[in-house]
Amino acid sequence: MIYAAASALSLIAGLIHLWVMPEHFEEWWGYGTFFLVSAVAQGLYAALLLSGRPGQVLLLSGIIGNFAVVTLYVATRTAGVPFFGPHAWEVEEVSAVGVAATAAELALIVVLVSLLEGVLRKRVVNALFVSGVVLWTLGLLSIFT
Amino acid sequence: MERYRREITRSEVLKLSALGSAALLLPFGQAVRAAQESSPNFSPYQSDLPLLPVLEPTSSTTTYDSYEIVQRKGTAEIIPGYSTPIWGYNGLYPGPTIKVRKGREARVRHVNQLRDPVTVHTHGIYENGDNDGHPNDLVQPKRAKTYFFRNYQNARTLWYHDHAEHVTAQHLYKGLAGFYLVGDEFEDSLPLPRGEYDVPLIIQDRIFNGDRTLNYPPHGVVVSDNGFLGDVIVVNGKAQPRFAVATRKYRFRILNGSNARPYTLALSNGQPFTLIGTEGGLLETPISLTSLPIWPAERYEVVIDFSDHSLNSQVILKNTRGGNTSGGSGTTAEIMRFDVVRSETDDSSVPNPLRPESEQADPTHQLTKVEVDAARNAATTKRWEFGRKRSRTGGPLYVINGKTYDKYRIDAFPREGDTEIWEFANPFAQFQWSHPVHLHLTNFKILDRNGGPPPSRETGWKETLILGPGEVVRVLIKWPEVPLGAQPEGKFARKYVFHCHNLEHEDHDMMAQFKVVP
Repeated sequence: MIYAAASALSLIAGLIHLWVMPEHFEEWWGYGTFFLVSAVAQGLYAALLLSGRPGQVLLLSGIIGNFAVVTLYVATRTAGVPFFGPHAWEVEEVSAVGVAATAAELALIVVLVSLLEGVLRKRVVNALFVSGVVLWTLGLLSIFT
Repeated sequence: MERYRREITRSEVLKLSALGSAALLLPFGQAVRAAQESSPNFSPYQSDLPLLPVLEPTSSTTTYDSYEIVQRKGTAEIIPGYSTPIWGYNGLYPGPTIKVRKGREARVRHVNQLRDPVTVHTHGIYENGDNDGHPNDLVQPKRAKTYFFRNYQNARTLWYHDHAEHVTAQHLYKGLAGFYLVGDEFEDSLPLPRGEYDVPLIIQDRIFNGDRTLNYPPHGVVVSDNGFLGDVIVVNGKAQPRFAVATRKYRFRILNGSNARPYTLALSNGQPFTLIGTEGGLLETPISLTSLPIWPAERYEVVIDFSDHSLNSQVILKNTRGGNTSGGSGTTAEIMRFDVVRSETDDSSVPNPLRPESEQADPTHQLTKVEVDAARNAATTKRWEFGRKRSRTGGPLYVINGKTYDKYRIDAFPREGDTEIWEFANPFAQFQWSHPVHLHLTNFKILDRNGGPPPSRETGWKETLILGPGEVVRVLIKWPEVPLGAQPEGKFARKYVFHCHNLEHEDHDMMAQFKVVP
């Protein structure tokens, strides 16, 4: 059941990225490619989660991958699109679909963490906590400076 | 070794909440900050109106003058007593005025010492696209570009400003704008006010933070469909200045340099003033007005006569525009004040006719009245609808014929020498959005507005017009020959754009590209 829930969350995020991909291609091939790769990766990951009991490596990969996407989302809504493309350093708007995709990815991270075992789980939780604190710090600096 | 647990513990929930809350709440921080604030109070009419400095050439030959402008950070005392960081041409806000003569070439070298790529559009100039400041013809930081202007056009009031794709609004707001004035012998022969009595005015609006730095939404965030509207009116870089005048006539070259705010100009004592010119230069005949709407990027030249005023009297230039959103009220209802401080004799006058039809012709004014009438129903028509759509992420995209700007797409291929009617339409009457539409390269004649004749102020040659909610405006364009030959032909030589000059709309892609073909 929990694997199905995780799979559904990954699929939701992937489908949202697929939905917004075309107009990002219109802006720049690099942005469109990012959303295409994200959508495919999240779709494949959803399938892998249903293909048998995933090992720790696969779980950790999912946590890292979704954490990266979430961090990029926060960066683009606070400091701006980093470095690349015609909209570099433009702050993207917050939209319902963006929040929905991020919420799905965060929920997926929580579910994947719950499937981790032993010392690895403790270390991952602590790392995510530190990351959250760093994000708050950098995010507030971006907004107010 | 810890035992395996499937459930998330309370401690883990708290730790993971740091990431979750950051991801879900921080993005809203920019939106909160972007909500337009109010400027601190200040007393108006405490600053004298600056007469903008004229840029001197760095060198001259028998055929051209060379100029150099360094785009760099600077500071400006916009509100008295406070130093506001700006970006400026030569570090000045507004930039220095470039004064040129018809038929004499000017070469202006721009050096970019700013953080961002820039491009310089001389608004209203007739030149090939490599010198037009195309939004994608960028000058990178630490690089330079020389713009060649052959100045083929009759005397008129142009201006130059940044035009880099997606950042024009920010760059212009920070200070990257200045006047480019073309003079010619015909205009010199007229008895119009000249010298210190010929005054360019750039009217803009700003919002200031508590520390008097400029307030503008974070780049990319669209605050309002009406564009950016400030609550402090700035003229020639000073907040609500005063201008000491004599009891005589003055010529004012008025430019609406705001990002999005329109104004309706009127004098507080209700006296009429005389409209003598538009973007295309002097009108054929002067027009007496008591109020004058002016939208972003439009220029109107007016003569105001203070000869009937007593010494120590004051006249306020007001903004009487109504409306809840962009209307003038409170701090935006008054623009500047004229203080009549001395008596002078006045040998100037406004002749009638001003610049008759026989003197109007130049590469951007190629049609006589007879030709305009003949082409009115015969010329090829292209229709351009200005609208808005929602992106898949829910944000606004401002579009022309349903499309956002794409630097790889050409939307029209007008042919040199052809006469065309371009029909600009704004079908979204219910949303009350207006679009000041600007065409690069050449001028047009407004044939009709909503099926009827245009108001008198729009009867001259123009390159910017207002397209109000639900309006349809038809213009007649005779496409000139693209003036090549100043330098080797570059990739933008025949490429130009037209766009909404509400800069927040422009930057969110309300722009289209055309290529003039032989």
